[in-house]
Amino acid sequence: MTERDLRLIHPSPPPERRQIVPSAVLGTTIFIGTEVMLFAGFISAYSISAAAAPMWPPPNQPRLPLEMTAINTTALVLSAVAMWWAGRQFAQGPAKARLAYLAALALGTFFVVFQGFEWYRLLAEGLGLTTSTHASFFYLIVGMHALHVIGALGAMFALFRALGRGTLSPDVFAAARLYWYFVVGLWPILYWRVYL
Amino acid sequence: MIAVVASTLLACAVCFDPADQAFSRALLGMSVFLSLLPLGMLGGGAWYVVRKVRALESHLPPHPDA
Repeated sequence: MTERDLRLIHPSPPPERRQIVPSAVLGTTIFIGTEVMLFAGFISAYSISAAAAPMWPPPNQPRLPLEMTAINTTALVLSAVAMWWAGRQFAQGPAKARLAYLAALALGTFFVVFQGFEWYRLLAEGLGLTTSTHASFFYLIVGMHALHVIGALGAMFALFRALGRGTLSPDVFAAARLYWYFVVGLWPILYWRVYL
Repeated sequence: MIAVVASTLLACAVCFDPADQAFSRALLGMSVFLSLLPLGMLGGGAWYVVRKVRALESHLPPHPDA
């Protein structure tokens, strides 16, 4: 009996299936794709409205807080750096990632609270949702981003508890990091288009 | 087609004033942006998968029948 005959009788086991992308990361990536198109639509509408307006932003309306928001932007970018560091630490042991993860959470929370404070100040100065087209776009785009940050923070707080219990899977953590990078990476683009 | 007949395409009800160059540029730019963005995302995804598969294949032992 030849080796070929033996292989026909006892075929070799099927090759091991290997995931190219973890399911959690793939699902998050597809979701991010839809989010990218949502914000691209907003930016597109904003840009066309800005180009059509004789003055943009319209005169006689409160000025957007460029400098303070730049500081807030820095905090958000730092939170992504902390998240990246948490990812690196996680590979060495989940417990080691806790401090960096907590820093990312704290900086993200700071961003949302600070932005809430800025909105409160702008509303007090008379910049409402219906003050102008510019103001409407501002609240819509920045508010939608803030909702995404709040949602991501909620998920991250839940995952932080799992991290503390030692039940956070690397795939879910990778998906959470990916979403946070998206939320953070999107903000400088929005800041550039809406504030500057 | 957008690039070739841009002035005709701008003759729509929502284009305010086709003579407004800034507006026309924004409309054309955003049309191109929104058209290319999904293609870029799909292309990026395909590129990532191909790269990952090649990396995995380079670590696999040779097939016994090869």
